[in-house]
Amino acid sequence: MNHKPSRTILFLAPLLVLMYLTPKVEEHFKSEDAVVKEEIPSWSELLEEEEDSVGVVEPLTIDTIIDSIDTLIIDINRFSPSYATHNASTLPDSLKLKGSEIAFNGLYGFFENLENIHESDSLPLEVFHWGDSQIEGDRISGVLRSSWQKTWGGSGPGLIPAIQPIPSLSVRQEHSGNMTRYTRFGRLDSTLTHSAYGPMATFCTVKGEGQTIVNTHPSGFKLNKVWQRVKFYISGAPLGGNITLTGNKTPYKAFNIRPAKSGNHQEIEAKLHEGETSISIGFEGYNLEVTGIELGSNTGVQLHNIPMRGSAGMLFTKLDAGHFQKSMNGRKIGLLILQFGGNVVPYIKDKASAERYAHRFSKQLEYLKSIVPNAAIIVIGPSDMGAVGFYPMLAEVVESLEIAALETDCLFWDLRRAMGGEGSMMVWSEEEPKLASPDLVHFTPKGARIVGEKFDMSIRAEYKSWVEWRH
Amino acid sequence: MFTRPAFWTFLLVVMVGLSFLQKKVALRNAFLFAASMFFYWNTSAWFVGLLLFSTVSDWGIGLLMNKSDGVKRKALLITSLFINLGLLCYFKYAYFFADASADLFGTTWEAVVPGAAWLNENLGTSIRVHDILLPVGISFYTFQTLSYTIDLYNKKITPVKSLLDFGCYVTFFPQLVAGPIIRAIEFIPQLNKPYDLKPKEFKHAIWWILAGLTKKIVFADYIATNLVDRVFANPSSHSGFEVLLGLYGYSLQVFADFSGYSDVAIGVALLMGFRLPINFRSPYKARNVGEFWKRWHISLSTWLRDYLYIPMGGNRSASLFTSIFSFSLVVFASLALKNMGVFLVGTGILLIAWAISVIYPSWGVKAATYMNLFATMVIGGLWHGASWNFLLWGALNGLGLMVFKFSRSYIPWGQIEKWWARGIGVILTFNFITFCRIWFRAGSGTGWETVPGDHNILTEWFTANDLVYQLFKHFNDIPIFEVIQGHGLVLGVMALGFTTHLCPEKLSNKIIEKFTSMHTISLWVITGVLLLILWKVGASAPQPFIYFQF
Repeated sequence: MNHKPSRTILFLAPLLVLMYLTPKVEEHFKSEDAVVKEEIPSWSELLEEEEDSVGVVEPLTIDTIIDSIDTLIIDINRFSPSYATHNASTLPDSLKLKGSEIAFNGLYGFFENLENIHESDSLPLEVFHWGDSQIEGDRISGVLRSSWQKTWGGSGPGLIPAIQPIPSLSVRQEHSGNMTRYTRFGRLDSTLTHSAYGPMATFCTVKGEGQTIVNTHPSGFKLNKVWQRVKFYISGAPLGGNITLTGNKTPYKAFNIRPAKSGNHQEIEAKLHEGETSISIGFEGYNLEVTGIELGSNTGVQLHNIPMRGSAGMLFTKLDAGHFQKSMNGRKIGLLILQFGGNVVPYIKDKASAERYAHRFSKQLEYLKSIVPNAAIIVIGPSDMGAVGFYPMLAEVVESLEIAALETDCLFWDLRRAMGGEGSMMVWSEEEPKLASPDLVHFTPKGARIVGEKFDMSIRAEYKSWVEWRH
Repeated sequence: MFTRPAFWTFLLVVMVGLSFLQKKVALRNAFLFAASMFFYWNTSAWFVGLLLFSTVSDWGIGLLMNKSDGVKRKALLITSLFINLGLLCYFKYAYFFADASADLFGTTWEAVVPGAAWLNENLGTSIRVHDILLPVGISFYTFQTLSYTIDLYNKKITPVKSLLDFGCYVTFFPQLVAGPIIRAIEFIPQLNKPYDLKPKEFKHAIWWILAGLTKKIVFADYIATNLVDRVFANPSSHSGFEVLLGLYGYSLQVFADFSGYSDVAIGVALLMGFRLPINFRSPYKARNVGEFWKRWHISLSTWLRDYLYIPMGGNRSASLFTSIFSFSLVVFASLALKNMGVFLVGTGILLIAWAISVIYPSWGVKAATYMNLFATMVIGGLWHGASWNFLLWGALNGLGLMVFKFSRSYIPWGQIEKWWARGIGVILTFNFITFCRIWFRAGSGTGWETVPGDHNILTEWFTANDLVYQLFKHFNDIPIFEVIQGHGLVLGVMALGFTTHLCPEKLSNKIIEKFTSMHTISLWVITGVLLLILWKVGASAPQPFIYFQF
């Protein structure tokens, strides 16, 4: 006996009705209580968030976002990026820096320093970009560094750790020997008896011998591959030690490390041969503490990418103050960029806790100001995260961080708004090629590039206005 | 596509049509052809014209070929190859060839839409001159029509007289977009028979559909969203162990996705009374690379074997194509590496190989077999996508096949029918196939392909580069236990997927037997419940991101 098509229809049709109806039934019930099951917001909280978010962000349509992204793609071989057409008054509101007059004066001071860069300088103008995992792999920082070094000179990636667990586009790095990494962010090692981590909030110990090999990254920015000199930063060296340096082109060099306790700061500098692309650094000593390696130039801009996975940016005051101060002294620091907040978003349940976080964050800003009083500080708020409504307190966190920045006379740049406001992360993740990772939190390299360019656009708009005003 | 209710509504309408036309073969075929064209129109809009052109041209050439002999017959074959491969090359490979030519020879050719610039200038249209869109399913239906023409040329089949019947064969909607690639010799005879489906076959069709949907929604989509895409989007933010899990996850995902699609296609076709060939036969049970390719995407593997590998000489001899391919390989390598020495050494090796094959013909046959295998796999790699990554992926698989063929003569343990020998073979094969997929996946979308900066080579390489780097240099950066804890749910789904996949055939046959012996009402209830579960899984929010401390 044959199975007639009509029997198949009878079988399939009710199932199809079921498939059409189920989402509608689910939707009906979801509007009442199912949101609770989605882990975070209650219904009332969701409503509150929606009301509060009005005015904080300017949701753009998908087309608008994509259009604005398209216009940002630049020819990176040019010294002046094509997007640098705005001044502060013509810049879209979503990209504008916010801050008090004092804060902007700080930024103008940075511009003054940029203008005064000369080839004969012995120190580069430094920018520290601290952030969470959003800037890992030299993302965002790399775009800024490349852009600024092309305009104002300088080369090299700046500070890198002796052990780099997260590959970066700035350099290729390997290590071997008896080396251990310690960080002030994430899980702490309770056996450590000090907190002299240095400006990277990480250091590595060498017990006996260790080696770090640094190569230029084949797909890195051109200027990242130009190294004029290398510096080694050592904190503790109970019995002293040695550093050896060899390169593809640089002849063998050796340096002594003088005995010092943890918390001291030693700086050893070596010139590198022109066109150097690979260096091998040998460390030798008993419990040597290496707080960083710096590859760069004597002049121009040096921008340090310092990602701290999982950090909310509350660790600066927990670093050994004396050591931190010593590490920052002797540098010509023009700008500090702090990009945090994303890590606290899943844990913030109400406005009050968002404000508490921001209040604590403002203490960090004040502390940094006391350490580097002449540098401008820009706080970059967290990006949009998750699907709409998944992180209901995100808007509060952004807003509170903005208040904290403004109250401490720092500048604030609203990344979430710059990328399109609420729901934009979903749009970025659906764009082809993808601009955001499927976790709806992190940018892809392409997305990070766009963020870097948008931020650069804002800085350059202020710079342009400042130049116009000055002349 | 199969996960959207719109498709099932469409199928329901088709089934209504079939219920009226089930005994009127010609009308049924015409109806199915029209339905398939409508289906393709909905997925590809105006490219339906291209599909129609391919269909009509091959049908016409087939009729003419039947009346021709000698040179004219050959000319018709060449015409068909030229049309089909020409269209495929233009739509799929234009960018790749232009870029490759620029990289290797420094040319400045650009891939453009012919006539678009003229139309824009003279008629004020705004066609994007450089946007060549890829028609959906072109790789599949091109191979399908090619097999028809080549089989006709070799007189293995007779031409299809009715354009509507031929159209139904080329455009048969359940498999049009992603296979299985069906041969005329298998399908055309079915078009001449009235609708025929036994009750047990109907239940089997439902089994195929449910199995396919489960693979797609539970295993493919869930694992992709919650693990694989994350790892491939930012390889450098994951430890080597996470990358390894991501790769294993991808192996399961790509199998579940593709075989899931094939399963549903087979089930849907069976509901309409047509039998499509099985496309996957538990490929990860393979104990060597050769066996893997007999189990994976079988319709493509056998196509490549019958229409490429064997005509190229197969395991008998080297053909002119083998020689051209070998020499092209040497030229390509020397151009890519910009090293004349590579050219000289490569040419030298080829000449020595040729000399040895003249003196020792049996060695020559072996060498030719290896080269034919390698060439088939490289071309098979490019069939999957137009990029260097796919080419490398194909080449790696070709090397794997060569090594396997070479080693089996000297290492007899491959023939041992002991569980441990099979186990070792399965593990080695799976890991080799998975490792090669680094280049396959890195070339198929997300990742570093748009990495900023001053790139001077194809950036897709860097995703693969980063994955390998993490795998070998940063394997333990995050404690393994922490990673397992953090990804518990998705790893559980993966474990379930692999367990199901490795389930012995006897057991799965028993389960299918039970399923197909069920009363229709019980079947309906089970189907309904499973669909609800699948819908729920499909609609679930992605797992939140996990922070691991490096």
